[in-house]
Amino acid sequence: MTRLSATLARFRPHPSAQPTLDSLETMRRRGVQLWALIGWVSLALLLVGNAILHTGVWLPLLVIGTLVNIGPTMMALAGRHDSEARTLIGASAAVIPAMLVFLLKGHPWQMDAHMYFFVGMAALVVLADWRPIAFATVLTACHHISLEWFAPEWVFSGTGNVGRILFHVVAVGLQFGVLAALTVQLERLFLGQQAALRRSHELTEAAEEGQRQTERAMELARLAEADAARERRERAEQATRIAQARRAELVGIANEFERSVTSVIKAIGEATERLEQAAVQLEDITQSTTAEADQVAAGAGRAASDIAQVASSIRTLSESVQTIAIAADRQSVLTETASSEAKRSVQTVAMLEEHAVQIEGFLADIRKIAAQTNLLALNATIEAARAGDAGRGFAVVAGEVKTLSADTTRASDRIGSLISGIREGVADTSDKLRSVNGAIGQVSLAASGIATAVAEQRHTAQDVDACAARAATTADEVERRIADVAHAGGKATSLSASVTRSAADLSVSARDLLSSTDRFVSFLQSDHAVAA
Amino acid sequence: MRRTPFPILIPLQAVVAVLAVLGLALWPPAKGAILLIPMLQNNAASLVPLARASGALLVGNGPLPGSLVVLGDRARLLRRVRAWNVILLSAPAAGCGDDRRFGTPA
Repeated sequence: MTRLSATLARFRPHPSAQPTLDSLETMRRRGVQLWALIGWVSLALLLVGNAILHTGVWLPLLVIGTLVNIGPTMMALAGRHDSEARTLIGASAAVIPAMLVFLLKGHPWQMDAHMYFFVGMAALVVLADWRPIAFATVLTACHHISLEWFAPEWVFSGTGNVGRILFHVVAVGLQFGVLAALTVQLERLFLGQQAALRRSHELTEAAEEGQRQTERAMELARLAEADAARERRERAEQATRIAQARRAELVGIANEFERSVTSVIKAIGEATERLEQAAVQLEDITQSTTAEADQVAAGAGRAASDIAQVASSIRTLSESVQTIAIAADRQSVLTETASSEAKRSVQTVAMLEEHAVQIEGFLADIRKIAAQTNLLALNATIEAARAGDAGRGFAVVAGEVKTLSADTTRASDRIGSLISGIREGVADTSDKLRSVNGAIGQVSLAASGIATAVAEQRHTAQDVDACAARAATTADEVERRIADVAHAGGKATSLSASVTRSAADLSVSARDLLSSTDRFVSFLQSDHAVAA
Repeated sequence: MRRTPFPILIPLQAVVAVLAVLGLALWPPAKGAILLIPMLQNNAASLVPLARASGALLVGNGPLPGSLVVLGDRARLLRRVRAWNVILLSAPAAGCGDDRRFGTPA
């Protein structure tokens, strides 16, 4: 593991390796910055050369140099180094040598200054891009071609021709071709290097990740091994503890089992003894019970016959009571008839008394009419006396009338005395009839009570008859049950004998169980049981 | 400086470079062949007296109508030229240079 870590550490990229992945971009960015600086430095040197040579062209140099340097400077300040920024640099590579040629105009070294075109194009290689080189080449070619077209004699005075321009263009083109191939190859090399570095970095990271995973796995393996060892030790200790606990538990269980079995056997022995005693007592009791049951059965039979005889007497009594009840009912009917007749007699007497009172009223009217008739007769007598002879006959009639009136009054008095006697007799008869009626009522009431009592007696006699029948049935049932009890007593006697024998057998089994328990507990307490 | 939506900076820089090269090529020398271009047609006739008054030598007609190539001093010519009446440019053979030599100006 240590050797693997050392090997990975040897191949691990330096921490500064990551920036080298962007070395192409860095070189291009610095190339743009360098060309911006070159532009201004070149302008300064050209101005110095102008001062030294006294050419008096500082103004066009300053204006054109400033205009040309604006673009690259802004790109450099903006930090741009993309293809557009790099291509702009090509203009500087074409214009700055042109400014040098312009500065040396008329100087013997002017033609030599054209070599700086190639220097400028070669210096564009730092941008690792063919575009600025192509741009500078095109600008230079356009410069010459345009002048050739615009003023052929201006390009090469006296000897200006297309062949010489082409000669220069071919040189510049070849320069461009070489530099472009170089920059393309350089870019490829950088990209390849970047890819290789990136791949190396990825492989290194993968190797480091693998190393970390291996270390983690080894750590986990060590931890697992330690856990396994600890678990084995714990398991062995636990097995030992379990064995000890099992032995203690077995010994405890054996002791407890022995105690419980001993106590159970002891309890069984005691219970067996009590059972035997109880069986003997039960046998004695069942024998005496059987005898008593026989006696009870005999008594029950006699009681049943007595009850049957009582029931027969009660039925006879009930029939007599039924006859009395019928006679009482008939008496009650007759009493009611007499009572109703007496009531009608009382009503008749009352009606007679009422008629007597009415007759007395009539007598009073007759006496009143007689008095008035007498008074009329008196008046007629007076009037007849006044009339003299003419009234003599009338006086005789009035005297007759007066006599009749007196007779009527006497007859009325006799009738009144008769009516009084009748009324007294009616009143006496009425009183007697009322007393008779009261006596009949009392007789009727007594007859009703007799009928009620007889009816109650009849129901009671019927209940007694039913109870006597049920008592007879119950006495028969008791006789049968007693017989069953006697039979059961016999069976109980035989079962008691069986229980006595079973108790003896149980006592023997308990002793056998005790000896077996002793042997089993001895086995549990031995080491063989623990080893098993 | 952000990227423009379309590549206008490169054509602009190309124009600046071409104009710069042409400006350098056409910039009149301090002393030597200078092309005088009249801005007005009626000024063409006055170019000769102007050149003579500046002490320049007449070399010949220029490539443009009415233009005149002289051999003289730029400073002296500019002192005689009114503003924008006559443009002074470098005469042929001034761009890349050669072994031709002009005579001493008068």
